[in-house]
Amino acid sequence: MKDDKISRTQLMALLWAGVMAPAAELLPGLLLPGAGKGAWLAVVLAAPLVLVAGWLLGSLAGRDGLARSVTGLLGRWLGGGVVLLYIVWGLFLLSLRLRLCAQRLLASGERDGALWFFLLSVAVVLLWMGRGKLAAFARAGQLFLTALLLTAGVVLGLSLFQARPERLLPLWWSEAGPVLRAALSAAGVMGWGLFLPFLMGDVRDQGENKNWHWLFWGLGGALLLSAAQAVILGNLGAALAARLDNPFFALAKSVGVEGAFQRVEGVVTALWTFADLTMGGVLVFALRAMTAELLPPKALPWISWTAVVLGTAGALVLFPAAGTAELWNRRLVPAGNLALGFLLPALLWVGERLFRRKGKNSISCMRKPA
Amino acid sequence: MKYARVGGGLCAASPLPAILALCLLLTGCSGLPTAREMGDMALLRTLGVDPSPAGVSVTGSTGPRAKGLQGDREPALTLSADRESLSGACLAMQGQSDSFVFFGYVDQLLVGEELAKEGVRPVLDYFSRDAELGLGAQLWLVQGASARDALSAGGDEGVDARLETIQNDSKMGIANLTRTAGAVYTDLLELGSAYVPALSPAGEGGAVLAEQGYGVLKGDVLAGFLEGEAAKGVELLAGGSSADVLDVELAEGPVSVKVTSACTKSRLEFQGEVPSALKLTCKVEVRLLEYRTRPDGQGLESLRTEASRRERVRLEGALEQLRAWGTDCAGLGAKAGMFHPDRWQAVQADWPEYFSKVPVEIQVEVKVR
Amino acid sequence: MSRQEANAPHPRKEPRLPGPLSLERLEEVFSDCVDFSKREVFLHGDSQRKATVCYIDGQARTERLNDYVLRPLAQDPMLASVPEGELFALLERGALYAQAAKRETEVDPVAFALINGSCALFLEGRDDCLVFPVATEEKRSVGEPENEPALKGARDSFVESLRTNTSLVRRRMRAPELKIREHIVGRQSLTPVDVLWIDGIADPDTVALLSERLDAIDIDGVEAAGNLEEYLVDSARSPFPLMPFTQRPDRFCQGLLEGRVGLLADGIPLGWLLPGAIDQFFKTGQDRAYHWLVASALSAIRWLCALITLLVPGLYIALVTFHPEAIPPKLALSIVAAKQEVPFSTIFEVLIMLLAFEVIQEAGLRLPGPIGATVSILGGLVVGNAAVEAHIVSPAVLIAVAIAGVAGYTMPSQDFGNALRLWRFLLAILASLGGLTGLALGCAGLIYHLAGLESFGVPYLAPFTTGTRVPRGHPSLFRLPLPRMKWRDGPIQTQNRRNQK
Repeated sequence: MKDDKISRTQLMALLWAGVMAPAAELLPGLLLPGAGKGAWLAVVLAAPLVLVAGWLLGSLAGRDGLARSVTGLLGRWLGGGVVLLYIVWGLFLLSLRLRLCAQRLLASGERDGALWFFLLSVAVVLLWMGRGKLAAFARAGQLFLTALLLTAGVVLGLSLFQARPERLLPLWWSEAGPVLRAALSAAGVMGWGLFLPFLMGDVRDQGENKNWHWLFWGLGGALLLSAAQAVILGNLGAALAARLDNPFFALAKSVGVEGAFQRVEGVVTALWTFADLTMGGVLVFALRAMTAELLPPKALPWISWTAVVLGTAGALVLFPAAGTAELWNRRLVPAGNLALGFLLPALLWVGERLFRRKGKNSISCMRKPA
Repeated sequence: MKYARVGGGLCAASPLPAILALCLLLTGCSGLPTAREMGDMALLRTLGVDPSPAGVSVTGSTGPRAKGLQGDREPALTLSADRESLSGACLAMQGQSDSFVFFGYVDQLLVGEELAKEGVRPVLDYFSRDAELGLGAQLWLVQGASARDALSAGGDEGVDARLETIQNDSKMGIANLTRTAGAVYTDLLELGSAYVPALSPAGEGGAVLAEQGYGVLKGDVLAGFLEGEAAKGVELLAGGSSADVLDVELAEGPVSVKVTSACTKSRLEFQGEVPSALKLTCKVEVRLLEYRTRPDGQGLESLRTEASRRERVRLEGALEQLRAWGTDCAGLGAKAGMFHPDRWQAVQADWPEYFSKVPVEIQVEVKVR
Repeated sequence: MSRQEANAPHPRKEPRLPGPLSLERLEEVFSDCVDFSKREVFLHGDSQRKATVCYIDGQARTERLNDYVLRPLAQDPMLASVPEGELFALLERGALYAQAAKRETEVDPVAFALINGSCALFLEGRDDCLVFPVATEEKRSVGEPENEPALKGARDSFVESLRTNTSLVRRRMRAPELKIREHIVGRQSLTPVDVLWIDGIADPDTVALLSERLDAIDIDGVEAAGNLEEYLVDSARSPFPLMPFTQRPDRFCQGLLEGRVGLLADGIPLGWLLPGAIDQFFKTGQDRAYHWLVASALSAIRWLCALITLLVPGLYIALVTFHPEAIPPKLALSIVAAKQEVPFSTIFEVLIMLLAFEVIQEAGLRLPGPIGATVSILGGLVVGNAAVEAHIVSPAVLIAVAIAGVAGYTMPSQDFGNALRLWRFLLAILASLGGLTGLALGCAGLIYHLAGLESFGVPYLAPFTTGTRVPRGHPSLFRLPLPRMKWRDGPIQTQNRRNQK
């Protein structure tokens, strides 16, 4: 269109399509050792934390995107340092996402084939998308979200009939502690979406009913995610789900309609590449927005190339031993997401409030004329 | 073109790099996954596992195979291997056939009685982790024989047709309940015990596999078998109809009824923190099948009484066995515990002992349609 | 020619035919044209007053020329009696019976007018002339649309004459707000191209953009539809069509009422409707004639067939060679049985069958009418049957490719179906290289490619992805009852959003 802006719905669609990738890998597996049966509740309890973090980031980002707000708030050097921190974290997440996607595709049944083939093919498609316009990527993201929701809906809907409520309940207060700790981990998983506020500069402002819109999408997505966890746990039970590498895809293996299709785990895994591509694309576009603040405009066309090449190199090099990527995905990344997605924005927001108040005070001081 | 280039066009400055890359891909030195031709595959449908001196013995059987367009029938292929581990045995089976042995269609898993006594968890773990096998396979215990014997019982036709028939019949309610390996594994981990349908070779020379009630696993080893009336009792507890026809002698003449559905609700009563009683309410629906004159009023009442008495006997028989073993494989405690979350949390770990000791009150309600 | 010479600017010569206007100059312009004729007449027999009429044989209609131009020149007494100074004015203002009379002073317009079928009247001693339209109207008569058959609707279709086409549109759209603006495209062909829109409904920015792009087209001639399409669309790299067209005036008027801008070109019996989003290529003219439930079901089937034709060959390859467990067991057994005797690999089989399908289709297009249908059917049946019997292909592959091919024929738009065929081939190749991963990445690429296309400022995937607060006109996958379709299509940015009470 005349402008290259995306709408708020498209932003939220990108968020949830992207978060579905780490969510399918980590939830409920990450939460089960601590919370056991209460893993599904942990996701529900993580929703307020996620909404608050989203609100903090959103109000910091305002209309210009988070990068510009941070540099505007903290000044060129300190703000640049903070943005650089986010850039490094973004590159790390990109490498991790590419690596995990390639590993999942390799393990799903393509018994042979090298890791680097899957890695390179996903990286090539990601580069193609990352070089284009955000509006085109956002439209594609909406369709990806539709495909993912349909697939997940079919898998979980068909397994709903075998779910047993006694595997989910009862939960009582004694489990509150572990469940709350697990809620933090769940919030860390949903924190993969922390790079979306960097794209706020490209969002068309609709004006009306803004808060209801964010609340609907944020809360709705978290509730759907927890419903999915409930179905998975109701089917497999907490103990078995903890033993499996990937409960969601294992569920996809056993679901089916007799005589029509069965054992469609390969198709579900292949479709989940959409989620990885969306997450990777969000990271690439966020890196573009962040570096646009720091670097001169001449370098801008090369950002996507650099980001994808660095990400691919990182995916090949940073995780030498088997299982390193999964370990970091479970331990390091949720903690890092919480720190960069909640704690740091909270500090910045508090700082912004103080700054504004000081600014007001200083003006009022100046207004006291003799 | 003076219009801005919109959308995804690749930088086609020169197609040469892309062509070179494509040529590189098409040579052998690429990481492409290998395609496998289906014409050269043996599709295993049933797998049987037994213990053996070497470690474990795995037997696999395809169903009847067809060859060519006209579908000329070939006999079923049965492969077996004895190795230290399951994966070793499965790999050995690859080498025994001139086709590629594909495990992705294994729908039935037979576990021999001996292996069940040693522990089924390694088998279930293998099924859950392998890329081709899955926990959606139906699990059967073979009583009185090894899984290899049961598989060989199929002869040229293989056994999976028979097993599939039993599976379909059970869905329609005219055979024993069937369970998937995943459901059994979940029960083992959640409840500590599980019931598995049992088969045994019957007929002349063991040519046919007949249903033989249920085997009960505790922990992951076999606790015992439930046959006959006790097996029907377990079905009532677990909630499912099965092939069961009751013949009742009434004043008007003999009447046959079929049990169409059964549902057991359980409630726990606590004394302080300790469970004091387990109340079971079993609602059974029966349908009139054969009768000389349609019973009504008094006849129906006596029919109901007699049916509920028979069902109660079954329930008591099954419960007696289960309590002797300390296995609550129907999840009665878990279902009851949902209503007392705080007390159930404390009791849950010791529930098998309580299950053996707590008095059980059974109430049967029969509805005649 | 060197590259610089090839890319050098290509200015127009203005004026095209230089020099002062005179009969001799005109004869010089049309030298070597045997159909250029001139006739010198005395005005009402007065040998002192002469007029010369020039025309081009074949462009001018003889009866009109004779009856309405030459006869009054010869028979009108006023022409002999009126003073010389007023003669020209009299001729211009009514002495001759023509619906228009224009005075020209340059050679260019007179030459163009003569080619368009007018006649030019030169008076002695003057350096200007009068041009009267006497064009012949030979054209194909309005017939039935061949490619968009109508069971329950009008049966007229556009023809090659531009003015007849606009009259067909005017007859359906009697609102005075229907505007028709003409552009001349092509240096040699000088083809008139009309832009039609309804003032107050269509987006004026789109009209302006279209006019700007038409004026920017600097080609030799418009001889095929591609001459306009490839120059007007945003991105010519994509095989997906961005300008929906129709042969039927009623569909054209439907589009104008929705707020789209129409394009008609002389010599091409089609009408384009812009902007075109993806759902335009799935609509047929019959959608609004049938009951809305039936139309919705048929529309859903068309969308499903688009997915089937794209994915089935690739999915077959990916499942059979990389993920056999996803195939139902009985089907897998029959595939195994059939493939035991086939010498080729599955990938090769599918790709060859796809190619064979295209070859048969192309051959069928070349064969003349009655033979073509018979040979296609027999060729397909016999060749297919024989190939299966000889174990060259397996029957499952044949069925998969046939299903994909037949599903592709349900596309109402031939252009869209062709693009799907290309992508089907590409997805099959990707599936053979990378299995389901390759197929999924190919689908992701296709979705992104479609998401990046724009037609005159409207995103191609607008019906599914706008996601803004623009009130959508109506759903695209199926059709609501007409009384409920109150709003015009949102993404087209029409001025007047409401189309009924």
